[in-house]
Amino acid sequence: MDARVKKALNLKKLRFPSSLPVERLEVEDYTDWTGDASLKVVVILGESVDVDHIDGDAVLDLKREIHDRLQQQGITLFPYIFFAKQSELAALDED
Amino acid sequence: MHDDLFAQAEVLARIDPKKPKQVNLRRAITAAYYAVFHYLVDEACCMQIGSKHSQAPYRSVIGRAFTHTVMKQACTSFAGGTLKETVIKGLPRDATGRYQISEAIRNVALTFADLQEKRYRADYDRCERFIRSEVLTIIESAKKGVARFAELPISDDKRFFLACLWAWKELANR
Repeated sequence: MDARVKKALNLKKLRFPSSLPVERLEVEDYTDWTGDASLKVVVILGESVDVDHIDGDAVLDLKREIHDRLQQQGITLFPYIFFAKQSELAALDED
Repeated sequence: MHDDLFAQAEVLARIDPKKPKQVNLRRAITAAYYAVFHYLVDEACCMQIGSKHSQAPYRSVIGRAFTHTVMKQACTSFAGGTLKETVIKGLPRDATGRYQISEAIRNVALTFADLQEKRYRADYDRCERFIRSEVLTIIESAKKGVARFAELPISDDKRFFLACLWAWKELANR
């Protein structure tokens, strides 16, 4: 993993919408279905987020912020951004 | 068509909220992807042919020329907010010399590229597990991405983006 990616996606420095509390980010190298090198960014949402009434504009703002921060560090890989709550990840592990 | 596909995606994603079935989440993602795909193809065809009812057969024929991979390549470039110099050679720039891509265009571009990857995984990757939060987030942000793009007044930049959805392969390789 390029150190610039970790620097770009430092949660303390990212300006995410306040309506979308984020607990942490997980980033890994990724290859998309066309074979292009890219990034997989998993956004772990706070348990308080009501996903049934999530604000789509806030999600788009968050995604653009991730794109912009990566670009500022000179990273041109496309970030595919996934969302989950920790409780959902734990439930998947139990299945 | 795209409104119906979004509605279908929501229905599928909201079935069994406590323990959603993977098959419903997968089909919800696919429906959301095709909502955005058909919306963009329709918009691009209207821009190319015209939006009159009598012109629908021509739009339908031109619509067959769009390919998922070319649209993805165009959208990943627009989503980043900057385009290759060879692509934008001769286009108007701002005071800093940049070709500005509006927020609404970036939003719909990143939505399309992101969704295409997830749709591929949903349809073909049997190892992938989907989470309800992820699917609802995808649908809601895709709806907003399309809505914000629809609100964007017609401009040369909007026409250019829509044209790039079918012309990108030739443009990007120059």
